[in-house]
Amino acid sequence: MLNYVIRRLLTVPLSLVIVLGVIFAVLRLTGDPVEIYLGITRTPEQVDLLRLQLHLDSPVLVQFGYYLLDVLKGDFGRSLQFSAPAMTIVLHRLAMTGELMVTALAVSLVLGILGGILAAVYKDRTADFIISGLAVAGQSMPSFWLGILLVQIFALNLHWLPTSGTGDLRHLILPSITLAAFVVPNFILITRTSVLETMQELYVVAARAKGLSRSRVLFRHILPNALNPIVSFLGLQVGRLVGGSIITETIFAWPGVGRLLIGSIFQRDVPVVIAGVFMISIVVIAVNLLVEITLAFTDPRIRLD
Amino acid sequence: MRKPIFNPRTKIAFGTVIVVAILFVAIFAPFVAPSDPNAQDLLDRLLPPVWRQDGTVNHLLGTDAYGRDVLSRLVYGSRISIIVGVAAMMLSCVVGTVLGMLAGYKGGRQEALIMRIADAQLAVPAILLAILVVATMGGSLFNLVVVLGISSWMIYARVIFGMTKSIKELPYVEAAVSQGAGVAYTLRRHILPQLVPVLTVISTLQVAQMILTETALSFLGLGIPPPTPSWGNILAEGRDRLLVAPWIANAAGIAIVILVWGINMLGNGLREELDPKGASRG
Repeated sequence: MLNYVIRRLLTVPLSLVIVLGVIFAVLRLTGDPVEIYLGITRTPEQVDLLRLQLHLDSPVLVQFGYYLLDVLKGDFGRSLQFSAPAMTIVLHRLAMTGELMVTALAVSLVLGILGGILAAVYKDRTADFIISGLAVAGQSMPSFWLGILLVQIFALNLHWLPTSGTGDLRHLILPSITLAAFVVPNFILITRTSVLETMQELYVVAARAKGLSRSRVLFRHILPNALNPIVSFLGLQVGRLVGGSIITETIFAWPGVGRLLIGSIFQRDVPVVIAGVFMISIVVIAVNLLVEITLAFTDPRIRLD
Repeated sequence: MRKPIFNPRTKIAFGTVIVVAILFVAIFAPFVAPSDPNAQDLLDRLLPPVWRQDGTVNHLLGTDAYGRDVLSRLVYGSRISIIVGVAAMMLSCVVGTVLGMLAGYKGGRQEALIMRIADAQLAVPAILLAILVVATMGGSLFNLVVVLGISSWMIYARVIFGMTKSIKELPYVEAAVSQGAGVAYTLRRHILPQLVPVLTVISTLQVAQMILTETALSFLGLGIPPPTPSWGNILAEGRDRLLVAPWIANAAGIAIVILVWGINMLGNGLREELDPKGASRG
């Protein structure tokens, strides 16, 4: 087990270097960094300072080295729109995004797994037809439009819920439904497939043959074994959820990292953009790691591979 | 065994009809659109669609904040979505298939390198990469296609890698290699044809994903810049006028749902028909 964990941990630096490499390449190699970092109103003094800070006079590889060192020290530069270190600003917003994502994830796990089990148990009957149909329709629905529809119905017409912003729990309802909609259809379909595949296993046939009740077979024999693909799928879905949170936060003016990121792009606040992208990537990589280690813990086949 | 209510053939037929209809509209946009998508008419701003009070036949789906015809903008906007979706799919398909086949066929160091990178990139949300690139380099058609294409090659690579690895062991491939077939020849002549059904399924479903991502980027203001109409930026403009003119956002939303749903339907039908074992799920 320890061996497996160490082996998995070793891949983390590679993921991080790829993220940083892409950020670096985009910012430094696709054009003049001065153009990217500083707006049209730049002064020669600012340009000189930037050249010094980014070591623009050194060879590219040396620049990348300096850049990695800065990141190791947690130094992403100062924000251009707020006078504070970029990382501090991002960290302040992280809690709001976390609140939204955890709520949405809980909603989508419950709905997705329940829906998937129902669809599998009633395969090719009306319940399956409706649930799977809704799931495919949901996959085709741009969730940002769903968010806008929800605002039209529940906020503008019925006046039940606020259109946007934060405050009490009611503010959390529409954003978390919208965000959950990004992943619920996938969870339904993956659960359905996984349960259906497990139903084919011989030990399930054996359990039925020795006279166990349907519900006992479902809960004791099928579900525990069908759970693994769902958990490993969870890791991949976190990335989608992050992308979704950027859009959801924009629709509902939710003051999280995603909205900060989009705002900073339009303000040309490059340090904040980098810090935000980096922070989000770390969270996604960490969650994926956690998922894989959990899987290895519950399923010896994975760690002994 | 009960029969499914929608069998694969029905799904394929249904999806094809929708996709072909929208393709037709996109290709013949100048003939289909009732007016110029960029023609402004400040006297006819924010007209509602024809079935509402005050709607006119001249603007079936109403007009936007500049008095531009919403229907015409939707018709022209379909072009951007389809071009970006298909081009980005082709790019990621080629990159992913080539790298996946190489990793699966060669094994060893190539396999380790390619598949490690694929795993690492899977941990980075595609939309983040897209946001970063578009934000610094601008949202041109070319940039969008490249970014979307590069951010999803791993999906192909992982599936193709696994399949190539097992096909490689089949006797007919071994026979070809023992008769002196080179790597490129073996891959092209003996392995690629086996992958075509699965590639067709993934590619179809990927077009839908690409279109959704493109519209999402446009919606965030990071896609094709206005005034060129795209479904995403029509929806984004409509969002700002939700209270007075909800039809703008809803028309674009419905257009996206119909197209993506048609493609997904086609892809799911193809999967059941061509890939009953579900290899394309990865």
